[in-house]
Amino acid sequence: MITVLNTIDTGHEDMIHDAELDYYGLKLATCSSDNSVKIYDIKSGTQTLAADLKGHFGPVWQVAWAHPKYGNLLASCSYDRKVIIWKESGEWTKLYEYTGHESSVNSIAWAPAEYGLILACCSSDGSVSIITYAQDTGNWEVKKIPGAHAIGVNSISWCPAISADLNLDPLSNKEAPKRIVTGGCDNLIKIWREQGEQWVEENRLEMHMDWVRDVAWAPSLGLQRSMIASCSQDKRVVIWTSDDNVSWTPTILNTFDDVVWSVSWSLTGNILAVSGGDNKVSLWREGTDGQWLCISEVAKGLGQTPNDERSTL
Amino acid sequence: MNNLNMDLVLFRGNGREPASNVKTFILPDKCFEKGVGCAWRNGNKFAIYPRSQTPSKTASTDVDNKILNIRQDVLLFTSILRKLVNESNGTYLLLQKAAETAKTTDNQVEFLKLSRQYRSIIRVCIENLQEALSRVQDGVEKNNLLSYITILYSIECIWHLCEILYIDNIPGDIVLPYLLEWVRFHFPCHEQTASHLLEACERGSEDHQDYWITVIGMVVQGRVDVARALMKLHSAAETNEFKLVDNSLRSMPVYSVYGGISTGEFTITWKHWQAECRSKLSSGVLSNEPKLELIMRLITGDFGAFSSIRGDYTSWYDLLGGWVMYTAPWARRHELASASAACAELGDALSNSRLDRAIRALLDGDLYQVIHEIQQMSDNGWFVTHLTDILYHCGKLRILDKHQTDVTNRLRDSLILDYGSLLMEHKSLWTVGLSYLASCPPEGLRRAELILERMPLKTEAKVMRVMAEAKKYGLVDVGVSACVCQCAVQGGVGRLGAGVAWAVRARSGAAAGRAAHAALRRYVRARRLPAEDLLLAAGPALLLHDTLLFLGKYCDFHRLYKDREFKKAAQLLVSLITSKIAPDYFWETLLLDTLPLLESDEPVFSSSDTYEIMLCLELKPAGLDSEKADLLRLALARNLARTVLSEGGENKQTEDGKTT
Repeated sequence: MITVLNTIDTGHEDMIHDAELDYYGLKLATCSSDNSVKIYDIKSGTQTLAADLKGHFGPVWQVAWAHPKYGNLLASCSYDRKVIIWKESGEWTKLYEYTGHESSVNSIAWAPAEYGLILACCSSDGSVSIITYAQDTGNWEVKKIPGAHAIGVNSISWCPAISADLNLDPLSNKEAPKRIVTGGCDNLIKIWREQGEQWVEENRLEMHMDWVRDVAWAPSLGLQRSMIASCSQDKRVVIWTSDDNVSWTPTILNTFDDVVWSVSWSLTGNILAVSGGDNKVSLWREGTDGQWLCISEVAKGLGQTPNDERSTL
Repeated sequence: MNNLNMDLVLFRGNGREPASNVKTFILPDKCFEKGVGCAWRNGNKFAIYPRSQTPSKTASTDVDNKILNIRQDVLLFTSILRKLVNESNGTYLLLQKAAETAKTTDNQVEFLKLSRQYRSIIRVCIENLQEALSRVQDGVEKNNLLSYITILYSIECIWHLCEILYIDNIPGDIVLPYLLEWVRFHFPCHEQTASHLLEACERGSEDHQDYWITVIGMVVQGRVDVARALMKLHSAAETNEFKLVDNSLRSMPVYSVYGGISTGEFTITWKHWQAECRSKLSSGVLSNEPKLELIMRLITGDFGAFSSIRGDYTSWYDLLGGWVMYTAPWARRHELASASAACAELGDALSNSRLDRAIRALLDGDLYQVIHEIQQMSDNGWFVTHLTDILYHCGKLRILDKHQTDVTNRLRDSLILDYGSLLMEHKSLWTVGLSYLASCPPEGLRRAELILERMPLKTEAKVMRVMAEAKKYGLVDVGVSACVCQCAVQGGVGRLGAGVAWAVRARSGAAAGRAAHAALRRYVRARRLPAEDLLLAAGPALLLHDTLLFLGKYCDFHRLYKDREFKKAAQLLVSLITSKIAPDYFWETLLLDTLPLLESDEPVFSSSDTYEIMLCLELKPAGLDSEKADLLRLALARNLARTVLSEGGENKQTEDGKTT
């Protein structure tokens, strides 16, 4: 049985595109087609609107929280081609605005905190930007991957720092290369590796037959294995595994009834939440034999009373 | 309450569709018509929001804009069950130690002891629940307690049988006495009536409405002596029929490992005895006494007879002990499959509850199926985790996947990891969860790290607690990360001193740098220095970062100045200026700090100090605006005039002293 702890009436005047909980699960950020970003404090069953951030002039697609060691930072990206980094110090204000893309910015992701304060973003203009904060100067430095995916890049995700190079002891190896994965409108998934001053394409994973909508690199559990989940307009979810971050093996998790929009890993990376056009969130995990099994799903309400799932013997 | 983050799902291609295990949770109210997204919070909590992929073309009026925070209910977090969680944790840890020593010596006795300990913990918990049940009035609460009791009863029942079949050391493996004990213990019936009748000790006890059912009950539970004693109370006890049955019961051979005869010999005697009973039956002498005839049929292991009384019992395992006793009393513990199959088919009532299936699987020796069944129980994995763990350590568990690879290890680890992670969600049980995760390296520690880092740290006490626990398991990074985050949090709300303190505690150079910069910037703005005491006492910790070192020394300068030790203060200030480690924004402050010292009655800067300050002033033209610079130049010049004169005099004097 599950309980709805609380319902947050966001008051967004248009569709919500993303909602993210902060590192501690105490703050919720949402963004919407009404061009705004909202932040709520969630404390023991109650929630209060902490900020209503206006700065974008188009639908806001995604929000992302930075690691708290850099303070309370939130990034947002929008159809208005901008990425805004917001900072809380007393109140929420705009810290930095990035305008280096020529089309809608579709997805953003903060790098593992070990690397510093780095944000990756990707756009419909086909390029990817890596924005790094330099602490000494207080400036943001930009590196760009032009033409990462033809027609556009839909999603971006970082390889966890700890599994950056599976052959090396991750804790002692600070020089492990940084990697990101992107999914695009060319039906491809690409893995990029930082090499010196540049980002180079290390791998392209072909499997999907339509636009790739979301990619998510699983948190590392210190095992000699890396995992990426991808979902696509072709209604399939694919799990990619690798033990060296170089060669990847795909497993089709499932083919759904409708387009799958998003995949996200739980904190410890053992459960994958899949959601899409079928108005359901399903939770999956790997069985002993490597098969992926759906363990539960949350379906949209139809106005009935919730069914009591409690079972006794 | 099914685990959302449930168990390692066991499944094999035996026609049972995995889909049947999918729990669908339908959300209340009408919502999420246009798409849905999920944001993870932690383990058993997440938020569901109406995610839309495309911007709406027209601004619709009925916008779905509600977000639901959802939590899986965790039975183990009920306060009354907390004791179960805490106490079983102790036993679990002892078991891990025992398993360590079992690698070198046989430790079965210890395992049995711990298995019993687990069972007694369950027992105590059931007692507590029953006590609570007698106190509550509320119907819902009552139902909850009742369902907990049902769950725990089933757990204890399965555990006990498992202990007999896999953990206990049974002489000669002859299981019957243990099986009878199990039946009597878990399915006690008619015992009270029996003792009541025996106490009263009246002839003609058959008038009691439950007389026969009790006698038969005693027979199928293997309490032959009690059954005979009860029969003596029948008014017709002296008739030939009664004597015949009594005689048959009395002469039944009972096997004992230490009895000095082999099982082969025993089997022959026993079969002979049963053949005799059968011939008595077929002679028809008992045809006028249907109850006595039934008893005779039961002790000859007649399926029809057992079937006919099945309706008097709630489950087939009530009759299991009796069935084994009268069909194959020599059965070894792994030869019970046929008995369980026979009993399950008794009567018409086909019971197929989880408890039924688990017990069947246990008797069949199919531990894989047992684990599969108990995984689905509503106890958040408490049972399956602890039972699998103990069976694993006893070396009794061997699970193969479809490629015939041994995955026992993985299964056990995965269950412990999930159970540990689940407990870590709880605000006070997290340390218990941590101990489970720590017993499963390396993945357990990594999981612990991920979860600990995200534990909300609302108070300093909580931070210290998390750090202490992390240290206990060697998770140094967690402690550092917690401190660095605290540093950022404190800095964010303007408590810069605390920020510096956390950075120092974390021994993090980067964080110390950030905190020190923030403090210096504030001093420039508001003339307020943080945590002077701390910085003055920090000592070598100041070396974490140049800026922190500067901040520390600058505080020291303020202390000297306040203590009117102007000479020392001036020296320190000069060294701060000349070392050039001050950040650019701080130059103005630093240079202007020389002014009051330059104006003091006694000159405190030497002429060479003054030259140095002058040099820095000219090298950093951006540091000061021209008006302030002029003021400083004037003061410097005046000081130079004073010092050159007096120093010149002094020099001369010493030179004179030398010459003379």
